[in-house]
Amino acid sequence: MPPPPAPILHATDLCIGYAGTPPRTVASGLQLRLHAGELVALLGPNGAGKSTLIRTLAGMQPPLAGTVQLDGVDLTALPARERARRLSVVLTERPAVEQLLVRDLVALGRHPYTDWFGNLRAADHITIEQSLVAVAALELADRPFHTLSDGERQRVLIARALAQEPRLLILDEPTAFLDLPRRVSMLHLLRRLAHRTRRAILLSTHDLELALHTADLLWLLDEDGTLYTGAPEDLVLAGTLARVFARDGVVFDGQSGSFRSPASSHSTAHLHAQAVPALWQIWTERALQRGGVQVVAAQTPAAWQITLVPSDTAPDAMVWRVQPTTAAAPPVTCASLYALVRHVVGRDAP
Amino acid sequence: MAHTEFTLGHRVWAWWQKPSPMRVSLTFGGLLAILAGAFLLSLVAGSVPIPLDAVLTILLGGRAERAVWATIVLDVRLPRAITATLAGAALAVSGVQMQTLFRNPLADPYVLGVSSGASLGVALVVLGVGAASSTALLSVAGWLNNVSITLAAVLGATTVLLLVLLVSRHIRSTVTLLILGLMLGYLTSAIVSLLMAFSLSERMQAYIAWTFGSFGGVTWGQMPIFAPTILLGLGLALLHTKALNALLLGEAYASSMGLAVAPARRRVIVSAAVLAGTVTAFCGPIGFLGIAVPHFCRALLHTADHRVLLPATITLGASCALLVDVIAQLPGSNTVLPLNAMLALIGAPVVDG
Repeated sequence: MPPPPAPILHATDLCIGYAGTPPRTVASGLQLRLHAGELVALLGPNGAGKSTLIRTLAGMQPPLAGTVQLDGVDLTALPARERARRLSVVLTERPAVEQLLVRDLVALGRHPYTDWFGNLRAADHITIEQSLVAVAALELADRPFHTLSDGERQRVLIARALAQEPRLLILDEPTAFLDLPRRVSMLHLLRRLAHRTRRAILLSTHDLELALHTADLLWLLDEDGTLYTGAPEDLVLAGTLARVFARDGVVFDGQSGSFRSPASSHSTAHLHAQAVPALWQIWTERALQRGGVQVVAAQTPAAWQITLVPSDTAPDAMVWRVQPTTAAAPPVTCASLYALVRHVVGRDAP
Repeated sequence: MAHTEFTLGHRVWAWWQKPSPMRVSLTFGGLLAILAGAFLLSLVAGSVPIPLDAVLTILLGGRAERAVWATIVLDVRLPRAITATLAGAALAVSGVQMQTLFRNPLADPYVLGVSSGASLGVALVVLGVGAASSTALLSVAGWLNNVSITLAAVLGATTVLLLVLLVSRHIRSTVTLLILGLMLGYLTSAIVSLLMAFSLSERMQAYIAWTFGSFGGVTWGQMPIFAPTILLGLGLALLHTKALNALLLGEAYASSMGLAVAPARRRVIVSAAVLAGTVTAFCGPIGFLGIAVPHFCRALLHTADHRVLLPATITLGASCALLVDVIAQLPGSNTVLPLNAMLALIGAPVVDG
């Protein structure tokens, strides 16, 4: 078996924080590796030090101790121009710049390659074009940057970072200002970029569920400065995610991979759903759970009997027949889960 | 959508909106033509109108109809036109530098306080020295042409520049420099007010006349200092075109692109301060051009790229200075209006429109 390829970024015994009297250590003893072609998501509660770690790895602030090696060279010893050819960043701050075309903004990324005046050669123009294509923003090339939407701006800023032709791309909360569908496509875009262009991409994010689905590796920074690394699924199975994000009244549901506030259940129900699509059963249970009704097994006594039956009117839809177990009331048919929950929690009662 | 493009006007407008090298060359051709025209106009127009062919003859070393014309053109109008050209270019360029460095569209060449320093120097000389003695009164004109005013202004501007550089070594945020410049401005005007309260009205008038600004004060004798200093400042500014572009997205991005931000910032400050300080020393505190011309150029060329913006502001800044100076002299009359007032009076409506 050949030896594993050398990591692009290699941090040894890294101690991050702020020099001063006294120095404030955010995290220490970090051992980090970033490999080509991998998308790594840095997660952690607010205030754990994600930004400090990002800034240290990007060479924007010096480490308190330990070393960061980029391509085997110490980051602090690397001349600024050489560093810029290996590493580029997309920052959280949204630059406000008037009267600059998207193409010209992306061209700024060629800074570490151009001459003293910033003249662009044919090869530079090709790289700029390719960078725009990589983020699907070529059609924005001749538009002024300040007229773009948040999602378009973020893509253009990534194109600028790509124009630096880096081995490592670091993004500080690239999804912060985007709506949910754009967050999903942004992370998938970055994942594609990492895999296709054999770059290492490190991003910090608060979108835990999204990171679970897209990242090759998670770096989980705890409030006490401990860093856990592993594939998302490894960290779920080890219970690390649940532990790091443990907060009063919030639990991590390992099955769905999401956080929720445990609703205290005050009632129970039997759910009869034979030969019913699984999706209908799952979402019925979720709706009931949200309303505080626990679905229990047939052996356990329950307050309600709920049956899923095909709808008479709509071909692919189902309706819910609901009846109390004890009282001799006739079954009520609910056409939606909204109606079902209202009925069960008694909001329909006079 | 197609029917809107039928008229010629729409087509031209649509073409103009699109970025192209053609548009840039056309604009530069136009700007250079305007500059040449403005320069010639400033030689032709004045209290005594001199025909263009006579001006050209004199410039080419020939003899004009009247001997006095040669004196007027060569000893009065030519140095004045050269001064206006250089000063206008200098203020516009240092305005661009400050607006980009501070990422603030309201920044102008004087935010660093260099002009305040120059004003203080001049105030000390005009209002302060011998303020107690009423016998040693010099005429207003005598004061204005005095080399000591220029010297005082240069000293004041240099002191502030050194102070700013000293501070910039120890601070991380550029905003601190902005606040420092602002405070220096307040401090200066406070001292000037105090000096005024205790000075004679003739001297006060001389100081106020200096604050009006004028391109007429640079003689051929002073030109060998004025012109090379401005050209040096402009050259230094052009050398930092790429650095200014990198700074468009802020210092963090600039640094990530490989720019050594702190030294670049210092050198940009030096060139902006040399430009603004020299103009203030020789022409008085001339406002408006430095803040308005950069905005006008950005809007005209639709770009913040300094490779285009810096040459454009040089030509447009020079043209504006020349044209406004011609108007301020009210051609055909012996009255001269305050240059600063005319700049704002003519310029503000143009920029707003």
